[in-house]
Amino acid sequence: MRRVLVLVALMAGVVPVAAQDRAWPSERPPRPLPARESTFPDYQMRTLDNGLQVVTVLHHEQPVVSMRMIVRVGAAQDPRDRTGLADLAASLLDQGSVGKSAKQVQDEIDFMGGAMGAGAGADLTFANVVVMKDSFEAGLRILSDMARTPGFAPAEVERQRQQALSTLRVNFDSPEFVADAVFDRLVYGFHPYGLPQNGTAGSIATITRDDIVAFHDTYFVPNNAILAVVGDVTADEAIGMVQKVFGDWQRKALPASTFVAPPDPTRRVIVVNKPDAVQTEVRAGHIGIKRNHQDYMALNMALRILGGEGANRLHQVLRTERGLTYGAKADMDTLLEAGDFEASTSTRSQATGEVLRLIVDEFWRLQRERVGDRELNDAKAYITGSFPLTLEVPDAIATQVLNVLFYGLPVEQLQTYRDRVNAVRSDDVERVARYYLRPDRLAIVLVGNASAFLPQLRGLGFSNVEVIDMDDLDLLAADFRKPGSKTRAQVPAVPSRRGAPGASLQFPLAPPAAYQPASAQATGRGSTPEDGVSARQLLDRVIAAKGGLERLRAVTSLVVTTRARALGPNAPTDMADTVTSIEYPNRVRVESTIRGTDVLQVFDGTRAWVRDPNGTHDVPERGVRDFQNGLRRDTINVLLAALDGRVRVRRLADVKDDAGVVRPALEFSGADLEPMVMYIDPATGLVTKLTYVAGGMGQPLVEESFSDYRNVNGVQITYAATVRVGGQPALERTVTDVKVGGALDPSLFRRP
Amino acid sequence: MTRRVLRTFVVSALLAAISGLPAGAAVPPPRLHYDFSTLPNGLKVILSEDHSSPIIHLGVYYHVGSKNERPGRTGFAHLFEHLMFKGSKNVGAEEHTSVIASAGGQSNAYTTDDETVFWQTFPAQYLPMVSWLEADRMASLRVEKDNFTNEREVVKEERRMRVDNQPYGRLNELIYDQTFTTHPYKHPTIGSMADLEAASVDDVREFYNTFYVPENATLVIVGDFETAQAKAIVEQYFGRVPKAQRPVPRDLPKEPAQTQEKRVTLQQPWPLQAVVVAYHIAYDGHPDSYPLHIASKVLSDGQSSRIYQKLVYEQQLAVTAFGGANLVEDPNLFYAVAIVQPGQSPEAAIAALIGELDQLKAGGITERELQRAKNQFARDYILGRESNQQKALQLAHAVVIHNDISTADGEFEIFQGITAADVKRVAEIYFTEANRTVITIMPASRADAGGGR
Repeated sequence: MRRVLVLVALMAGVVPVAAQDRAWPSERPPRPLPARESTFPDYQMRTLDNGLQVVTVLHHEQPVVSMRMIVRVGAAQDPRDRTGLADLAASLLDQGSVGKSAKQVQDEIDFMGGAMGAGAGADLTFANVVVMKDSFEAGLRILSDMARTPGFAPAEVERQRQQALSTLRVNFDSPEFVADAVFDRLVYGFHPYGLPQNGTAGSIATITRDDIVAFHDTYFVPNNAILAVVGDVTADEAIGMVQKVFGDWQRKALPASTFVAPPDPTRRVIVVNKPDAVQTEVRAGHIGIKRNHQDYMALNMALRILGGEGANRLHQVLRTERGLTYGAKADMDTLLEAGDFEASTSTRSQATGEVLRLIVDEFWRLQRERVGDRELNDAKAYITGSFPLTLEVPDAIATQVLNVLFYGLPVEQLQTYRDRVNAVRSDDVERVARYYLRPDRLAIVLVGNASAFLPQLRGLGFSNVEVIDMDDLDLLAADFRKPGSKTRAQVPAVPSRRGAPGASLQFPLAPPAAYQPASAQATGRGSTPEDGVSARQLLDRVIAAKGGLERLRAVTSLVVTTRARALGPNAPTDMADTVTSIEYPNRVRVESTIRGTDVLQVFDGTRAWVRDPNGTHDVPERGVRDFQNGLRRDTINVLLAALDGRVRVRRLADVKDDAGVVRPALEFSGADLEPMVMYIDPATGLVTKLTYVAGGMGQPLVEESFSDYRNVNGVQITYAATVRVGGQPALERTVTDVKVGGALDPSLFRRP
Repeated sequence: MTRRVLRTFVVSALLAAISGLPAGAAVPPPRLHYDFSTLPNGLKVILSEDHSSPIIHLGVYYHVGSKNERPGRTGFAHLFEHLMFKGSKNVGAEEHTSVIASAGGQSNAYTTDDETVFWQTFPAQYLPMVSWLEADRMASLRVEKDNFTNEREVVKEERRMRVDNQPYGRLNELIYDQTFTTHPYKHPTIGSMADLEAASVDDVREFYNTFYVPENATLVIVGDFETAQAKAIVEQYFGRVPKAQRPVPRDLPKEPAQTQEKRVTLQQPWPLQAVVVAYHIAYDGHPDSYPLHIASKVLSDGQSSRIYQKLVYEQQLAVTAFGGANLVEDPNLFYAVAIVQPGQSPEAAIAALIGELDQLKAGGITERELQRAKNQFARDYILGRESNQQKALQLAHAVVIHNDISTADGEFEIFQGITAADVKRVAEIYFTEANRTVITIMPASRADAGGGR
């Protein structure tokens, strides 16, 4: 009997490693005891006449008092050419005051067995002091000196400047740091949240003592600050002492902060190459919401399910199931002005492609699939159950109150936190996941040994990868490259494991030829556009080249006859003859003939149908979307939509074509349009290439290149096109006839 | 009591005295209250009530760490810690964590040279369930081969993340490899890639049956419970774990005394040069350990400490510089590190560090420095006893490492009695040239570094 048991265990691959295993009972876990009362602990809030908000949390177990001040100014207020100013200013707060040298104040705090510290974040600067209760007043005075009268002695400024520069050098050797910094820049663009908070070597060197003094004078005022006093004092003692020490701090008007909006999410892959790295730091995500937002709770739940404590699909998929990482998580970073969603992990170089694919898949899964009640309830149980854990020590209680005050949230939220968590339903999570998550527009950052994983990216369909050597990295450049650094090729051309599916897959149902009319133009009136030409100017130029705004608006239909041939090792050799009729803006009819078989596809603006030798069928919803997307990518449609503001357009920096030639490029994106990049011939203003991913991230990139433009009734139409899918040639197309004209016969779009 | 985690506060000396400050003794902290007992199977149990919040912290401290690993199996204690989450007779793989999470609890584990610690903090009503979970894996761990292989990959990623891919990530590893010849403190807790690869399921069984037994464990529970009820729960679930068949081995090779100074220069792909000055010292709880701890504070706690003032603030030889005594179960090291400021020489930084240690022998410390160090010690002591987890750590440390629970409270008085003469005496014993190792680490070019590790 015993032998049999052991055998069964071995066959199941399970090894009981305990000698006494058999004697141990089989049973279910015991039930919990009655739950204990848990309420939000007491705290007091007061506002002094000068506007200083004061929070007190009393706690008498240990003879210690902690004092924490938050000033509402951070790196977000750094002038654009002085990044790192808030950080440098904060680092000087504990380096002496007007009345005491750095050495004096440091000796004072150390001798009393206290500690002090200061620092800056994106939106705030903090200064903390902790002392034994018998030094409460002395501690509060040190904090007052830090906040109100820091000395900024020139010698101390120079010391901290050197420290900041050395820290930068070490930081830029840390793949983690670099990945986070590039991710922020990618997601927030040139919004202050996207800029390096601890500055650059250039900006740190430029900041003067006057800059620091002016910055402090402007923002360090009582009506811009919150002070928490926590620990072994009475409420009267605390408020009385704060009044005594901070009561004469003068209120002052604050300048308004205005920020540029962060850009819309855009699909972009940045690889920072660090050849000596043994792991790749992986970041993926996009812009999110600010902290004070009505959907915060539901989105927070969605992100926790993706990768938060108490849930964490990423951890499950990457670590538990595959052993690809030590840890993976997803966070919702929510700041005052904006926020982001971010998945992060690190993995051995060789597993980079697989890890990236799995992360992107999980974004899609969360966006597309409803979260089940069981998974949601587990996540809620963790959040509500662990709430008392976040209130264990007095400083943690103070943190909760400070957060509410800082973000301007209703104070009652502290008491109702668990009710609000429990109120989130699957419907809410589904709604916000669908609305806010954009897996097709993830900003992706990979910091590691590029040669170990670049070929994998191409295989996975990630094209347009921008590779930057670590030494060339410049966080302030639009293309992340130091001026003058040599540019590298993008993803090296390596054989893809996918064949060339484009053509064969698309035939006969929807040849890419179908609704690609053409792009064209009267040749270059304008010459080469200079740097800094705005998206709008470039857009105008493309429209002018194509035929002019008036002419394009007058085009109501386009009928194009083409011959096309599939390319690739397994492609059929037959030619496909196609007549595509578009009636702007949203109807299309495609008649194709291949190997003697006729196929007709029609989209009437709402429904789509197909007639093939087997009869007439309705096209399923997914296919309908393909028609709609194809029409939205039509050159005339997209140009006019961008001009009218229905589609967002932005100018890309330094995009290169296959030959490595810099060409102006525009990116079009919108609620219903996956990002599409349009490359423009600098000499003529004609469109030379369109690239896009149809059906979302992870799908292969489609590249359509155009040439042989001819003028047809005042519109420039391309007569020759090639299509590459996933980097492989897929289709070659020649136009034989084009009609640019008026209304088409309505019966062409009527379902038989 | 110092872990192998360096303090980054730095410190210095020499300040003009400031008038008007209390010159007095440190504020005395409240004593910890606890109930300490041993079950018939040998499990030591510490219970400490704290009703300030409706939560409980429960930790199981196994007295086994990376110093108990056999040669060729470095990293195994830590790998084993991961395997303790892979299921037992009544608990599926990873269920330990998920069951506690759905109760609103947090759980994790860590491994040091001396101990492996499993902990959870959770709403108080789940004490029976958490006790049951910990007892289940103490008595009936199961390891699936797939899980084992998978988890080994996770640990390799952990090594890459924490050590290999971080600037200065290998610093500790280099220091201990250079300073130890015999004692297993020579190797890092995370282990080497080759040894991790060599670990087998047979190793798992042997390690478990040897070290994961009740008499090698200390259970500590701090939080919102009544002691009588908690005792009943502990006896019900832990009491039935069988007693070990054989004693836990405790014989570790001793490190021979170092007889002459060692100087070595290494290369690493780090952005700035680093220098290390290290001396062998006594173990935690040795009478010399208390003055050594005071010396660490004078040298390197706070911006007024000597090393910070001299190397970072005044001479600007270093971007950062710090040092301290690593006081653990067996004799370990006092070491100081400086990351050299660009433009300065490593030789100057080494000379400055050694100068500070020699100064302790030549001039001793001032009464003011002594008092400051004691006040700082009191601060650490008090701030280290705020949360349930911190209290549990202090109590368990006293039992596991000192084998005397009274030290959890008693060390406060010992420290207040240390004199400047004590500090000078231990400096003369340990900070000698023959007992010293000096390491210089130069940045290797990136090309040299690629693939070599």
